[in-house]
Amino acid sequence: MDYQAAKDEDLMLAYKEGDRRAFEALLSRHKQSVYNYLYRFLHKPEIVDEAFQEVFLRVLKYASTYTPTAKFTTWLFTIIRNFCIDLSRRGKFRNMKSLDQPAMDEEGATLGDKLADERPGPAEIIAGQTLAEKLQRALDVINPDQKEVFLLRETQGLAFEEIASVVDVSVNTVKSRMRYALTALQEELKKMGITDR
Amino acid sequence: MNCGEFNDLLPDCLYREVKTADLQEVMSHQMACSSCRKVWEAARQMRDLYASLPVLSPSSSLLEPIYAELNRSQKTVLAGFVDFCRTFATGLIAGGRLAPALMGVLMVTATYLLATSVNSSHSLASRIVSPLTPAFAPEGGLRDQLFSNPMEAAPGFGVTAQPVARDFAQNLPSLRTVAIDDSPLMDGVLSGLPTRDPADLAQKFEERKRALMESDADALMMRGRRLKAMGRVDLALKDFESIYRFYPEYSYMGDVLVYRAQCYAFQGEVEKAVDSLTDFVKKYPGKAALMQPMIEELKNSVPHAVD
Repeated sequence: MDYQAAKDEDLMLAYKEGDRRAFEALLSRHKQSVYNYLYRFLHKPEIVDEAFQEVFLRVLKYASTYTPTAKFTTWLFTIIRNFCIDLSRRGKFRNMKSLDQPAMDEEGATLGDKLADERPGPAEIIAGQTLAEKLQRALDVINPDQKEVFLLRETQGLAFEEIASVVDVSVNTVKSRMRYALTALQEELKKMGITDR
Repeated sequence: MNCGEFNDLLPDCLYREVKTADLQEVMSHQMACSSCRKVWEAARQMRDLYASLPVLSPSSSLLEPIYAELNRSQKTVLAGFVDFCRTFATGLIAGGRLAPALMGVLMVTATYLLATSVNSSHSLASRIVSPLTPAFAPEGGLRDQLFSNPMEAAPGFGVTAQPVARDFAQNLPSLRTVAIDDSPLMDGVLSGLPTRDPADLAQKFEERKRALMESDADALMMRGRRLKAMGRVDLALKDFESIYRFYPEYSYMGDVLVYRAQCYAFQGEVEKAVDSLTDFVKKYPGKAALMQPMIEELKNSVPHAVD
């Protein structure tokens, strides 16, 4: 089998048949996109690492139930989504204080601002916070359903129809969430002085 | 097309999930309608901004539990196969048919070995037979044998750019194989023996190399920042220069370029500072708007220093 050229679905079926290298190829192919999705969605490094491992352990665990009726990525991101929902239900990542959450005594300041090294980094000197931080902060603020659709589209490149399968809503709802996500992100970034130039 | 229809089609057009005719209509509408044009541009700008975010990679240590689980699940497959053979043989022996039992087991084993060897160059087949006699031990499975030929252990190693340590391949976690003689036989054989497939080894090598290079660059970055904070801009600059030259794929290259520009600016080398920021803009075009004023300011700080 040509592992580099094989389709995801074929690799998954090969793994079900006992071909270990097929799974290694799948892992190698998707590890970065899954990690980036989880990082942008959860935005808590200590949870992201655990989530990343748990997702692929679940893929191994449920491999025997896989049937190629849908694309592998749809199946994979359904697992990821279910895991994120489990995480949310356990309240695990909500019990931790985020450095990005607003500090109670200062308007606009965050806990991270209070704890951070006061010496400005290069990005702060030149342009305030880095764009990445601001965009991540905006992502943290917007509605999770909208963020989910935005990230599935941008990070994974899933088509709206695939996203609809993963999220289990209609395609129109997905598109609507995408529109709201774009608007909400623009609003948040505008507040930070980034867009609307 | 009216503004409502434009709004409905916006996501499809933005991500090119639309018919050409519809796309043309949307483009014509946004050219004619200033408010929709603003919406379109803002949405595109948001995509560009997101595309400029750094791409993160999971560390290799995160993958270890996954590979461990993969090993465990394969052991389960092996156990299932052994159980099947045992049941099959027991049934025949119980029926007084010793010869057919032996023949059956041999045939099932041969079929299984053939199937698995087609799927994988380092298949379960070799793992199954290897405990039976050293004559069947997987070739190159012993650490000493594996590393007797460095090019085989890490293809392409000889042409790898410095400063990666030459002997690090021996510490590859996935290759830390205990010699069969030193361990419980089956566990030693089943726990993470490397395959001899050059592509597989090359991939492991590349992943490990990337992780180590990232770690090297992190160390330089931290020292450079510390030196810069202490006022030793000249020494800090050497670290940032090293990262720039030797670790072009470093995840935080954007920060390095900005630090480097700062150091050059401190030393009065405005032209180099501008070059560094220009490199930044080339690498992250989405952030051009942020950097351009700074570049202009730098250029103007020393009249006629830079064209």
